[in-house]
Amino acid sequence: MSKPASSPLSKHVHVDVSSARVARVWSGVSEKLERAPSGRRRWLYRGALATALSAVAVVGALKLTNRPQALSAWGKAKLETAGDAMAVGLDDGSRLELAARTLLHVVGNEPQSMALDLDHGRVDCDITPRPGRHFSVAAAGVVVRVKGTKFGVELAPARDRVNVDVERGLVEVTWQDGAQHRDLAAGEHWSIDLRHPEATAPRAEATAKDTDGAKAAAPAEASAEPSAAVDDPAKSPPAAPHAPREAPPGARELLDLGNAARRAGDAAGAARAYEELLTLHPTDGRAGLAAFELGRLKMDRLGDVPGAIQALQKAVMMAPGAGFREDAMARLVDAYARAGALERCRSARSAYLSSYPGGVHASAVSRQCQGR
Amino acid sequence: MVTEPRSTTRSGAGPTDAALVIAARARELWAQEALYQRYARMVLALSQRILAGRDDADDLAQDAFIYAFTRLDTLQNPQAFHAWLRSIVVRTASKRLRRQRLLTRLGLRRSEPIEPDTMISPEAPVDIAVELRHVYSLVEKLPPEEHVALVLRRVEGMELLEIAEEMKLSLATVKRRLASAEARLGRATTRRGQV
Repeated sequence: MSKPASSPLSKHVHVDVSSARVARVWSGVSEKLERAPSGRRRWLYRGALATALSAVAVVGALKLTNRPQALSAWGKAKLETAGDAMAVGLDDGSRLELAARTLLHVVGNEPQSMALDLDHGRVDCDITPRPGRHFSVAAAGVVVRVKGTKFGVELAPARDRVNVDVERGLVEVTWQDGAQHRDLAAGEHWSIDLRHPEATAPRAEATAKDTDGAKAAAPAEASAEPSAAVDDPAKSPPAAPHAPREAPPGARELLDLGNAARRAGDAAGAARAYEELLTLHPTDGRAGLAAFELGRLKMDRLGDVPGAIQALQKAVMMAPGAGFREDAMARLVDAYARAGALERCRSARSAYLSSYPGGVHASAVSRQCQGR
Repeated sequence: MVTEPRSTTRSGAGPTDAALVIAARARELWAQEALYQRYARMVLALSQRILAGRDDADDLAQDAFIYAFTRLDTLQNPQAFHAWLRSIVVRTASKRLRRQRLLTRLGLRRSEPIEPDTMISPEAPVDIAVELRHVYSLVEKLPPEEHVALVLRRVEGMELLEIAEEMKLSLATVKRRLASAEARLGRATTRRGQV
């Protein structure tokens, strides 16, 4: 077993211990400490909890034995938050984030559909696309149907207004028992006054910000036809020249953004984030990784082989000591082969094999660049 | 290496850990906050390094402090708060990793791949960056206890006895887990070739 390094590597690990982060964690700690029971009361609570769990187990066992087929774990579940928000991952990779003081019922969970009913509060949904599966959230008669997207639904505490925000993808909103409906695209916000759903046209507005950080669109004017009330962000008035400019995003932020988009299946969005990182922060330590990820996306997802070659060349040059360099060099050989650039392919193949003679891709790389 | 717990604040004029622990046991919020402020950065940094940059390091730090503050009455030597808190972070991290693996296996949680390059400081020398990359590329494939032991050994630079104390394991168990992790690390390093 090797000895630990004389100087720990820990000081070379990038960690964020900013004052803002320290304060944020403390606010969570202090809030929970205020609610935490003292030592004696904790035992009382544990006893009560054990009794309650036993009762639930007995009732559950009785119900299951009386049913021919048990539903999935999520069937008819009730998700409720008190003072804290809660995130729930579903078995298909989708994710629900319940804001504090929210009650959400799972009213249906079948292989082809999942239906949620928002009793109060707010739920943000990041839905993994699955062909043939429908996902919907209802709130006081307003139903939001989804086809692979990220969106939020909020029912105001007085139950007099429903707000919908779409961050990615497309949703269909229906209300008045399906008599009215409209589609909302990414960046749009929509709300309805439930006290006067007919008299007041539901409002939809773009929520995306323009590059100067000003709101891209003002709320649309009321209209008898809800679909006419959507503002087109492209037609929004330009921001005032004196509007304060936002600081450009940092390399870490852009890399996180790109990685999140990539994991969510948004290849184009991820590629934009990585490209922006390479443009704004070409000398940052993360630029090599961004170039590699960009190359992989362009090659595997976006069908842009010349773009992939350019990005992979950058990755190899920018990060000579990186762990992903071997993969980048192997992919570069493959990309040249796909582009039919056989001379460059052979040259890249020699470079890979001389750097990694026993590498994991050596046998596949050796077979590349065949032909005349 | 693990630094020795400070008996006083840096100025030498502040309350000792022992004094703060005694006040915090009486649920004095100011004492809890003083202990938090003294050790928050250590706990956050250790959490991030053990969880390999996953975005739940804040949750781990929060859980560790809440656990510590609600069980201060079990701390026999109030002056040893620092080492005790580190041990709580390490064991809470192991539990969290075990739970995450289980949820992932049951399909209730999406696996979050580790991105080693986001964790390495841009100023890190090349040889250190390579070693860190090898360690963090491997840990997500290791069982949680081996993951934690390897990070404590390779990244934190701790001695075997210190690791055993923090993980509340026997020295033999730590040696066994580290031997297994180090063997896999050696194989992964050889496969990748010398860069």
